[in-house]
Amino acid sequence: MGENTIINLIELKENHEGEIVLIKAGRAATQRLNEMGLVPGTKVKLVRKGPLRGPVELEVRNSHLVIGYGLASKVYVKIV
Amino acid sequence: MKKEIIIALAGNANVGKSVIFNQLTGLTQIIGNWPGKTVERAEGVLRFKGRTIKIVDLPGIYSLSAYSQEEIVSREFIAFEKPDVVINVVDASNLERNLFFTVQLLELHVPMVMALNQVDYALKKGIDIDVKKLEELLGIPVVETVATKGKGLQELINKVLEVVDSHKEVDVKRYDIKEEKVLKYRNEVSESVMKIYNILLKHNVDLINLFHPLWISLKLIEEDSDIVEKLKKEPNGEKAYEEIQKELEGLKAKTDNPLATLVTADRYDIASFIANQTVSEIHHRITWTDLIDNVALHKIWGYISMFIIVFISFYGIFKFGEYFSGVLEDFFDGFKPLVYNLNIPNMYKDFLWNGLAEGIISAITIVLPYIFPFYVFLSILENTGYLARIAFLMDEVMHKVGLHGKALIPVLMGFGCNVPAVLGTKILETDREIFIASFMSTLVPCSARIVIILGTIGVFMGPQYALAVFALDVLVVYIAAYFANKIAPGKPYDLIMELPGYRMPALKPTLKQIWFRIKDFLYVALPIIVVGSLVLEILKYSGIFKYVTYIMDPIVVKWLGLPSIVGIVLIFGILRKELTLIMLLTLSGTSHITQILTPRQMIVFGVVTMLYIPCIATIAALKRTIGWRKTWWVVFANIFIAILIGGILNRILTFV
Repeated sequence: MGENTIINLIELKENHEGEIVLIKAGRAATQRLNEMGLVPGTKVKLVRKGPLRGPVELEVRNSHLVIGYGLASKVYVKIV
Repeated sequence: MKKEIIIALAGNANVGKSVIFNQLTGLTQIIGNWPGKTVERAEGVLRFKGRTIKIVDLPGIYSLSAYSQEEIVSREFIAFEKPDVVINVVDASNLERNLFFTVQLLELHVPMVMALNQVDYALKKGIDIDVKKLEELLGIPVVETVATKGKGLQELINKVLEVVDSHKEVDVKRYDIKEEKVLKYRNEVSESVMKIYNILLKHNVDLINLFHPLWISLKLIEEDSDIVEKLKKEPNGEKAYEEIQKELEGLKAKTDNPLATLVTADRYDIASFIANQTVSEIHHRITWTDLIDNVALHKIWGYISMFIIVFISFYGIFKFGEYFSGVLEDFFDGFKPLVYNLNIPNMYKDFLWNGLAEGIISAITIVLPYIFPFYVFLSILENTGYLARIAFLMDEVMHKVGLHGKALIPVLMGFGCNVPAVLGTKILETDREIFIASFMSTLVPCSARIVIILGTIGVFMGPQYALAVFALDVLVVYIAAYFANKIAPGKPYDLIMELPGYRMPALKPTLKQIWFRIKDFLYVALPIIVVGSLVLEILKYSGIFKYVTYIMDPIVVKWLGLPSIVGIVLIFGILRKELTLIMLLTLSGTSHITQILTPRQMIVFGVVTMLYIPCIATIAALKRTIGWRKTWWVVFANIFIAILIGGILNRILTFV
C-alpha cells in the first residue's frame, strides 16, 4: 500500500500512523468520535488491537483512546 | 460582597474532579440524583472566610452536546442555576483534550477559574506548562493543584472569591465575535455565528439570556436537537429557526462533513493552539503506563493477568463478606432472646423481631461486609485506571449483550451479593447499560443462593449436579441479557473511551466517597426492607397464606412438581434467600431435605430459588439504581424465567 491509500482503522497495522479523512458512522457516533478528538486531519497512531473482533487502541493528541471494532471500521485514514 | 456562593466543578472524567470536591467539602456532602435523571448529583458546603460556598460536582464529561444525560444535566445546571463560578478541572498531563471542554465553557462566557490538576504527574511525564501564558490566552485565572495532596486548593478558592467579587454581568445584546481573543473559528463559522446572533436578536429570542449567544449560535450550527427544541418553543422561535436554516444552507454547500464536525474541528484547533503555546517540552519517553500495558493489554498475558487480579480480589471480598456477615449475624442473634423474653403476645414478638429487627439486621449484615470491600475494590479499579483495561479486554464478549467490558465487574460481584452488584452498575455510562447489567446481576446466584444449592443438590446428589446447575445459570444470565438488549429502548453503542494512565489512588477521598454512597443506600433501602418484612409478618398472622397456597398450587405443584409448602417458603425467601431452605425444613418438621424432596424436586427447587426474585435488599438497590418501573420489570422477568425454566426442568427430569 502506497501513499494516499485510504483504509479504515481496522486495516491499519499496529504501530502505523494515519491521518483521518472521513468518518462514515451515524450522526451521534460521528459527533462522539469528533468530540474525543477524531476530526478530519487528525493524526492517529494505532497502538494495538484486541484479539478477534476486539477494540483498537489509538494514540491521538498525546493521549490514548479505545474504540470498539464496529466503530473503528467506519473511521477512514490516509496512511502517512 | 456576596455571602452565599454557588460553584460548580466541571471537567473531563478521570481528572481528579471528585477528589477536589471531596477535599473541599469534607463531611458535608449529599449524594443523590439529579431531578428526573439517574445521574448522580453530589453537592457539599465549604465555609471559607465568613462565606458559605455551595459546591456542586458536575458529572465528568468531554463535551456539552446533548448526547448523554450527563451532558444535559451539566449544561442545564450552568444555564438555570447560574453558578457564581465554574471551576474547570483540567488534567495537566493531557492538556489538549481537556482544553476542548474548556473552550466550550469559554463559549458560555460564565465566570471561570481553571484548576490545572495533577501537575506533579505531568512533570513526571516531562510536561511543563506555562501557567502565566495559559492565563493570558484563556483570560481566566489558572491555579496549579495536586488535589490528592490538597495542594493549591486554598489558592483555588481565593481565586474563586476574587472572580465572584469582580464579576460584571455580560451584556448579551452587544456581542461581537471579532472581540474574542482566543476563540477563533474558521471565517465561515464566525460569519454564521454573527448572522444567527442577529436573527436571534431580531426575533427577541429569550434563549440568549439563558446561554450566551456565541454558544447558542454554535449549537444551532451544530443542529443540537435540544437547543433547537428550546428555540422553537419561543414565541417567534419557529420563524427564527426557519431563517437560521436558510442561513446555514450556504455553509452546508461548502463542505462534505456534517456542520457539527466543522465546529468540533475548530474547537480542537483552538485547543491545540493553546496547548502548543503553553506546553513547552514533551520528551516522548516511554512511560510506566506503556510498559504495564504491554502486558496488561496483551492478547494472552492480558487475559491471564486480568483473571488473576479479578479472581484474587473477588475471593478476598467474598471471604471477607462471608466472615463478617457471620460475625455480625451472631452478634445480632444474641439480641433475639431479649425480644422473645418480653412479656407480650407472640404475635408482637414476631412483629418486633422478624418484621423490624430482621430487616434492619439483614441490611446491615449484607451492606457492611459485602458493599464496603466491593466499593473499595471498585474504586481502586477505577482510580488506578485498570477498569479501563478490563473494558478493553472484555469489550467483544460483553458487546454481544449490548454492554461494554466494564460491566463484567458488577456482574461478577453478583456471586457474592447482588446488592453491591446492582449498585456497582453505576460505573457504566448509559441507563440502558445500567439496566441490562442490573438485570444480569439479579440472575447471578449470590453467596446465599450458592449455599442453598451446595447444601441441597451438592450434598445429597453430588457436586457435579450443583456444578451443572451453575452452568445452566450462566447460560440463563447470558440469554436473559441477550433478550434484554433486544427489547431495551435505545441502541447499544460502540465503545469510545479514553485510556487513562495508571495512577496511585488517593485513599482518604476514596473512603469518604464510599461512606457517602453507603449512607445514601441505607436511607433508600432500610424503609423498603423494613416495610417489606412487616407486611410479610402481618400477612402470616392474617391467615392469608391458606389462600396463597391455593393460588400458587397450580404453579408450584402442577407445573413445577414441588410440594405445596414450597410456595410459602418461596414468599419468605424474598426477605432473605437463606430462609427458603431453613423454613422448608422447619415447616416440614425435619432436618433431612431428602425426606421432603426427591432429587428431581431438589434440582427444580434449587433452580427456582436461584432465579425467582431478587431479595428485598436487592429490590431496594434496584430501586435506587434504575427506579421503580424498571425494578418491577426485573422482578417479573425473574419470576417468569424461574417458573419457565423450573417447569421445563421438571418435565425433562421426569424422563431421565
